Amino acid sequence: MSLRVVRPGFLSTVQDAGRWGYQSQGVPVGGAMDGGSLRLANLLVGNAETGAVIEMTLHGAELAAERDLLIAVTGGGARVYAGEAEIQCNRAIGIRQGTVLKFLPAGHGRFTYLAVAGGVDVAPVMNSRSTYLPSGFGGLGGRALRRGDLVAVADKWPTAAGKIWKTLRWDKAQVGMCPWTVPTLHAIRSRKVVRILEGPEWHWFTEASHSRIFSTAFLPTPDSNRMGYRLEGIAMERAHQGELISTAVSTGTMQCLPNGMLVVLMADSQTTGGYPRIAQVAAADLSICAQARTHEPVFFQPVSLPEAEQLFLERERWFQSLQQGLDTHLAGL
Amino acid sequence: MWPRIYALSERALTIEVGGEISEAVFERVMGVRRQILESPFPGLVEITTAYTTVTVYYDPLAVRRASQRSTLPASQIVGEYVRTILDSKPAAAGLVSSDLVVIPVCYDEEFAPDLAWVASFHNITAEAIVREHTAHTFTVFMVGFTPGFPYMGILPPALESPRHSAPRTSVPAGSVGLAGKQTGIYPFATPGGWQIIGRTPWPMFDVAQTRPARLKAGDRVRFQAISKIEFNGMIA
Repeated sequence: MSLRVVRPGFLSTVQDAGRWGYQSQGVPVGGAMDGGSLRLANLLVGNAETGAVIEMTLHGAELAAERDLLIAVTGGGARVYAGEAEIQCNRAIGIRQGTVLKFLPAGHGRFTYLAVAGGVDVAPVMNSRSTYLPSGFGGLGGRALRRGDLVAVADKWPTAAGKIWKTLRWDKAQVGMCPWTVPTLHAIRSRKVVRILEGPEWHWFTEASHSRIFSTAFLPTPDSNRMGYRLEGIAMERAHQGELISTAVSTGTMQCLPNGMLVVLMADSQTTGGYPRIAQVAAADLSICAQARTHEPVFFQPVSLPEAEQLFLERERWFQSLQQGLDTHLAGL
Repeated sequence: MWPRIYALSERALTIEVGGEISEAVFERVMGVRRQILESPFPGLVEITTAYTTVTVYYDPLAVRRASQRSTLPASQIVGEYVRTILDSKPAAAGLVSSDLVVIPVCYDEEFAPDLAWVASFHNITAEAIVREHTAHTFTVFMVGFTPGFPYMGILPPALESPRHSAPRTSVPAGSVGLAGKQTGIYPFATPGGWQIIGRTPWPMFDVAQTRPARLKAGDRVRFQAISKIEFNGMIA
């Protein structure tokens, strides 16, 4: 056992990169809502990118290290303290046994990711350690973390983690800082912009609706969750009537409900749906979208499919070069 | 007009093979799925099906790496693979298994809160509804809504029933329902708007199994009426 849950915060679950290959059984891919931050946190501590971490929603969590740990915090949804010292995100950090990590309110963002060298060690279900709350499986007992939970971390560290540990510079507060950090993937802008593709049923809606999607703000409502974000905003209008025969949907699919309101499907959404799919969040912007808070205005911008794919590939290359850069640097130590 | 191919996202392509819920369209769906399974393309991650569509999920990086024309968008490369596969000869019928599954259902009043209403809607007795429900072999058209939830049909007119206008906030796990031309089973206690006419003691989704969902698209299902005593004996 390596982490004891002193306080669970709003909603903390074990997540990894999700489970592919089970959608035909009605099991969504799931996994971290902000996939970019999951990958970054893992890379920083020398884990495989897709490994299991703790996803924390907003603030309030307190986790006690039961042994020395190499950790990294990403996402920005909370300010993080190791004991009395605030620790930076996007950097590998060493903490001593007994240190209590506290997740305090931040001004923006919804999710914070805590990666630990070796990875969170819970039994995989359908090849993944992600928690699927609606059906209660995966992660730690298929549920959110509770006070008193002991979260196991694998005993064996990846070789890279051992090397990173040796680079840590320890301060008086007994917090070890890795000399390098990585800039945040997405600049924190004053205005949240998410790029969207035209969905398969884009033309079921009026030109005026199309124009309104790109010229007005949409705000996630309080009943938004890991299955989807309901958006408050101008109602969409149908150009013609007709029902959609239930078909596949995926993370990022934007459905239009009968009342004209939009829903953005998220990590734990159903795998099939019958509401018209007016748009699709660009894969490269899923993380930005996921980090939108309740009542935070979100602005949509159009992107074409080839452009969206380019953005996706650029993002993949960014992670690849980051991994290569880290490998090269560690090899030289 | 069909097959119609369109992108669902940068990582998924949908092939639509018809415009209505029917056995004929469904056979085409299963046929296309078989063809793709027989000739999987590099970068294919998984395939799902629905009433009228087949969706292929792929890894754009792997698709472009494997293709000779790697400057084209992956969506275009996959679209071309799919068209080539569709134009080739149909796959051998035996490639994908389809099972006949007989599902025990207790139609006792305690488990069937909507049976009386459905019976009066059709102007027949509850027993007649049960006879109809257990007389036909239904096709599983797709699994969705929750893990393991099977959409089965096509219901004869004597069973076609409208959904509740306001769904129940929680329907017990194992509940068997009717909605429109479909019949289904709720594997978990979830909100539900279907007319509940019985309950099965069998788990419809069990993570301990190699294949957790009991049913898959293409399976054939018959319902078998059991007594409450038998139900209690079967429930784990």
